[in-house]
Amino acid sequence: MHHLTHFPPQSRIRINKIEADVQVVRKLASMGILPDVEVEVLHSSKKNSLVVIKRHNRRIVLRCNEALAIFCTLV
Amino acid sequence: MKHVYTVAVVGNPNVGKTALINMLAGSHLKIGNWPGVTVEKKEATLHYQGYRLRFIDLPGVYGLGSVTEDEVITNNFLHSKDYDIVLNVIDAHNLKLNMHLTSQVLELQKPILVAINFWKEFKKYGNAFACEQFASLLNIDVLAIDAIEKQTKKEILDGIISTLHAKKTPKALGVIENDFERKGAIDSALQHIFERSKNTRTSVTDAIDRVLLHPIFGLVSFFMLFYFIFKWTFDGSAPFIDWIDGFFNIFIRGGAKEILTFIHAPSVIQSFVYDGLIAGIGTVMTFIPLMAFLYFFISLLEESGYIARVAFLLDRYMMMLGLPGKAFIPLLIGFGCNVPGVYATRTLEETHDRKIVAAIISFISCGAKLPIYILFTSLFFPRIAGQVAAGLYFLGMAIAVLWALILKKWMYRGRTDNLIIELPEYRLPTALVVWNSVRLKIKSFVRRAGTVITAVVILIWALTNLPYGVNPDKSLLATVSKTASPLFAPLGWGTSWRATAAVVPGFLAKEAVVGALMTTYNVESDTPSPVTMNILSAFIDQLISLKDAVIQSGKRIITGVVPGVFEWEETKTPLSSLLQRDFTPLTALSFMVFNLLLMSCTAVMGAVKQEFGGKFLFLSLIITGGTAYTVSLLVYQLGRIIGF
Repeated sequence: MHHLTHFPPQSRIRINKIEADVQVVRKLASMGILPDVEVEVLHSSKKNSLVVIKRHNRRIVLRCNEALAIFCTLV
Repeated sequence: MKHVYTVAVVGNPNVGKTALINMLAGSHLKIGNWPGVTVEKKEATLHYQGYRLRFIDLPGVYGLGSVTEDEVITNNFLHSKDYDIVLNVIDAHNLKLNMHLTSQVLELQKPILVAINFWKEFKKYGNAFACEQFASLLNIDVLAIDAIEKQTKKEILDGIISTLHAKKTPKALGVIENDFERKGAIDSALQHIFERSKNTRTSVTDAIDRVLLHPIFGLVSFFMLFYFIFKWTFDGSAPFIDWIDGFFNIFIRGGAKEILTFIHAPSVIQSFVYDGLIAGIGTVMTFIPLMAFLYFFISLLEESGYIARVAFLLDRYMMMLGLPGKAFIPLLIGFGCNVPGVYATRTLEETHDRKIVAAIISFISCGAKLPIYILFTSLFFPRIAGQVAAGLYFLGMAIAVLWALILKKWMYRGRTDNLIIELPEYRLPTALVVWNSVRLKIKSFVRRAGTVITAVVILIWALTNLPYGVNPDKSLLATVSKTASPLFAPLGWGTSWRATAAVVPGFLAKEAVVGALMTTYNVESDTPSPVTMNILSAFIDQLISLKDAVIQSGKRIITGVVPGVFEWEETKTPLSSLLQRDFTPLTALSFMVFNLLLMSCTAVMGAVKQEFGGKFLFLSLIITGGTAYTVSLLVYQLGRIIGF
């Protein structure tokens, strides 16, 4: 299990847990990002950069801080 | 009396809610392809089958747990239950994800009509959704639609009336305690209803994003794009500006002379019409093509889905200022007009971030300030007019950055909010939407010219002519302005009472600065009286020259062949000689800088007060006024020292 930032673009990953504050967790959940869902990494992060993940047709941008709170495994 | 029904239109951001309302009600609410276009509750009304339907366009939300100001608006309205029916618009491409919000709306126990948008494309890729089964499962009504199709209007309106009459109470998905349970409930409800095809859409968006979101190519593309937007705006609009100038100065002035001579109007009326109304309003109108070109390109960006990418690209740099990347969106909107820019801060989660953006937005040069730059740069910097105008834009941005740093460090400390945004699919902008967007902005500009600017011009003309018959230098306006002039004398242009007099109307609308200047100078100038003409043949001449302007503009944009990049031709008129008498290139620059940095207009002040209160407005006025004065002073005094 690794942080979301660990995975290179085009990886398909499964989200295992999200350890962010409640507001972030709720916002992500409302956008369809919550434990047990699969997403594709479109852009992965260098330090202080952004991560873009895609679930179905929705592309979501996260800052590195939020991405570090999401733990995933490769599918 | 007709029965009034209120329809709350809700959905995720960017699913086409506003476009649908515009289509239904024939309204012209602002639409765009990025999350956060609608940040306030807006209304559109229509009459149908004896009913009055009041549509409430609510800001797009992903769920009913509100974080940002715009989400609070939607949340509060939905929980107020001050409506009769919910029209829940869903994007078929993300049907399952959109259900998160739908499942929460079901719990409100109000009649719901679900409209699944982009249905044809959804079916084209082999997806399946059993609408009737879904409707009966939840005791709601469901429509599969394409908002751009003609028959959609009737389908939706009939659907609303039928849902209202049926008085169905929706069934919630069960007792749901957390988001995980909600997902499970949605999965279970859609298990035999929704079948997602393996043929996903060829991802053109992902391919384009590989370039446009690239750390290097993305930024290069961004700067190239904005360079060409400004280049095409200036190059393409120049022939039309010349045409409108000729139209007012030759055709309208000539026509007015014909009429006024025919009715034997007294000379004071003739002076008012030629030197006051036509000179003041005509000059402001000259800038319509420039505005139209600029708004056209901004609309293309808004519609295409690129704007959200800008937030992505600039996040790293905005973070250095202590602001989230999406703070760039209100600032970008501010280039068109600062007022919607102030309201667009609602998409930011933290109040301190909102306040910083609202405080610095006046330094972003709005479209209304452009006429001032064009008037002065074309006269005083004819060879580098475009570069000077572009330099002013960059100066405004640099000052905004500086103030953001200051405010973040000393006033509005605090953690910058997280960045979680959606990047929409790229879409080809539709001609109708772009046309409507440009038309509405130009209409608003013309309306301001017809009301505020006309009033300013009349007032300025009257004050310049009072007491009647006196030299303008001894007029009432001159006397009052000369009293205030010492305050502005250190800035270089305060010695001209006309410049001082023009600054005040600028608080009402920045376009009025040019109108006021032209009126005061025209009263004094020996601009030739309009010549007698044959109105019909003059009208035909105007049409021919309009055709030439269209050809010239097209050539300039397509071939890029212009006298020079951002170069305007210097034309000597009696008015320009008077301006050159009172201003030098340095004082003109100082005057432009002062107007650039001063708060744009009363409408911006109103928006800032509404959003953040009177104290914050006062602070913003101190910041912008103080900065405008200081920077203008520095420009003039340093310019003098280095012998400019």
